[in-house]
Amino acid sequence: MTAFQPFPLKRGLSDTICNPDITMLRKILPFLILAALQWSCSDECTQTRTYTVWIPFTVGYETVRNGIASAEPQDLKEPGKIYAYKQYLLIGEVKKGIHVIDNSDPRSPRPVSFIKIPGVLDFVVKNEMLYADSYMDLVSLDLSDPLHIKETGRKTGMFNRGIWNGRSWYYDSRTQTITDYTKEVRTESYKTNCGNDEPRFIGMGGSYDQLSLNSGSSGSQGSPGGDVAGQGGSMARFTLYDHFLYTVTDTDLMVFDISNPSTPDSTGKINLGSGIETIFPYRDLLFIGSNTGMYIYDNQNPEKPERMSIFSHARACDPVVAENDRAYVTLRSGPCGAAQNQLQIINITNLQAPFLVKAYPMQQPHGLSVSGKTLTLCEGTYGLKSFDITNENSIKELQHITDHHAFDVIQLSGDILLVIGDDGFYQYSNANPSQLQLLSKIAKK
Amino acid sequence: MKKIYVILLFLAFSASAQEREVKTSKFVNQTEIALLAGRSYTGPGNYWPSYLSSYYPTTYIPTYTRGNTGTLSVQTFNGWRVKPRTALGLTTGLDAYQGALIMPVAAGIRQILFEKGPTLSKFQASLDLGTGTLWLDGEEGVSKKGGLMVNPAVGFVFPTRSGSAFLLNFGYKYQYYRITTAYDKENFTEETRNIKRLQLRLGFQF
Repeated sequence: MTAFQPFPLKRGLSDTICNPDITMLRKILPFLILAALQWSCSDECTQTRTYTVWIPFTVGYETVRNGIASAEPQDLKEPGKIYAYKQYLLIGEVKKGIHVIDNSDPRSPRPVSFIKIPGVLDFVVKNEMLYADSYMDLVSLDLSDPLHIKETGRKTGMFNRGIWNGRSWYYDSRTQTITDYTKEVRTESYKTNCGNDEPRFIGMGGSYDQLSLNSGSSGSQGSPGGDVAGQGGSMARFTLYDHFLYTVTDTDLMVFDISNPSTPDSTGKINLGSGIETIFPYRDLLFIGSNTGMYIYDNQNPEKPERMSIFSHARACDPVVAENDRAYVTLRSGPCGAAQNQLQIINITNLQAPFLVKAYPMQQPHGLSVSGKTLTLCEGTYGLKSFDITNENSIKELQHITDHHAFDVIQLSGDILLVIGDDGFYQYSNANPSQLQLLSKIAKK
Repeated sequence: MKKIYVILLFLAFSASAQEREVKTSKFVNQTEIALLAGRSYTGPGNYWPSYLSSYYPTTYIPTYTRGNTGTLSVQTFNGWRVKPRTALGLTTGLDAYQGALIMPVAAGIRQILFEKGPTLSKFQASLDLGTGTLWLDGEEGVSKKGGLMVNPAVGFVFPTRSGSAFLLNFGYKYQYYRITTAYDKENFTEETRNIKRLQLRLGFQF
């Protein structure tokens, strides 16, 4: 073992470190003490949080009732519902209006005009007539010339509230004002306690959720008698059957007679409870998605739909579509409930007693569409998925597109898929469901 | 404290009283248990964005009281004696803090600064420089990422006859880590934590 070494005459750095001399140590000692004093023993923790707030504002009813107009095409800023009608594609601009796009060539959609409708969230089209909500009113607009839209009728005070992104506006009939909210994303920093006594509310989510609104998936809307109606989807709150327009609020199913297209007439209102989200027509049936279950209504008397059964599920956000005696329901945890994210396949052969065939775990399922043996499902921030559902007990994922947000989808004939997400509108060909081919896109600006 | 002082003195004298041939090995292991003492903030928990925050937006300014905090950690240094007084190696262990359980992985140096003889007590400086990993501290929905860890210390080595030694070190430990919680792309938090602790280490070397 090496004993204490005398210092060499010439000292290199390593020697200094390995064999420090006391004199030198004395020299550096004050600096060491100073450095030690500078060292703090207090934790320093800073949290930067980014969160959503809703800023209230009021709108007078004159603003709503005088706000309808045609305008030049505009950029997509906050995409809402999509709707396909003839060669047109309608994309909602949340609470602002509707983009009318000529989709004759899906590879190159051409913006035609922008229809300003204050407060619009949902809309359907039949025989050149556009029916839309405008905050508390239901309006009918003549769409035969999209550049020069004409208001033909207005049913006032039909709705008291309407929900988008989990946030509702309210109409006060006494003051005739609407209280609405704009979303603002805030970022702020502050000092924290570094993890001492920190509660964590994991999974509470922001109020950011598209669920309670609209947009499309396949499912032809009932329109017997050679009428030309458009196509909406699994997250829609408006749908058409015969000469009736059905709308769901969060508590009611409302029926409007549109036999006189220019002046819709309210013919009934059925209370459904609470948490109603979507409506989907299938044969002579109406499938209503609520956040506690799926309601099946018999629509043989379209003026007065009658409840046949309820298929209950855990509390969740819940769009539904139906095809070939099967209903397809997506459950998503969010503000509507904290159930698991999944796709449920429900046997509806016996409409009085629907039962669950199988449930498949998903990530963040929103709208969906079914066409033959292919199911297309929007996974929110996780993208878009295509499934082979030939064997309902073992469905196969064919493709997962992850590069964009998707919250609703409409399957058109000719293997065209219309997909809307937060970041814009996408159009795919799903002639080969294992390899969706992007035809065109309209990005949000 | 008095008792520790007496024990340490006893160890020091017992070691110095036995000046005999001591076995040495190229391999050095120093395993220690440590008390990490510092000042931290306590008070209401951190504010996390929740569904309610968007309905009732308020500017939140938390108020904390500062208090003493103490947690435990264990560490082991394994290295090679590259010079008679210098050992280089790797240090790992477990550090418990209030907010996280961290496993540091660091390069370490152990340097004897003064020694009067192979069997007598020695003055040692050490430095561990590396990163803290949080893989043991999993939590759903929360991403924790470790960062820089710096741990200088000075202290005493009290050799025993068998060639092993007892260790007493005083150090300072700095640990950085980051916690992110994402609810969705518009609601998320990112917290950076700079943890600073005085360290009292007790252990043995063989």
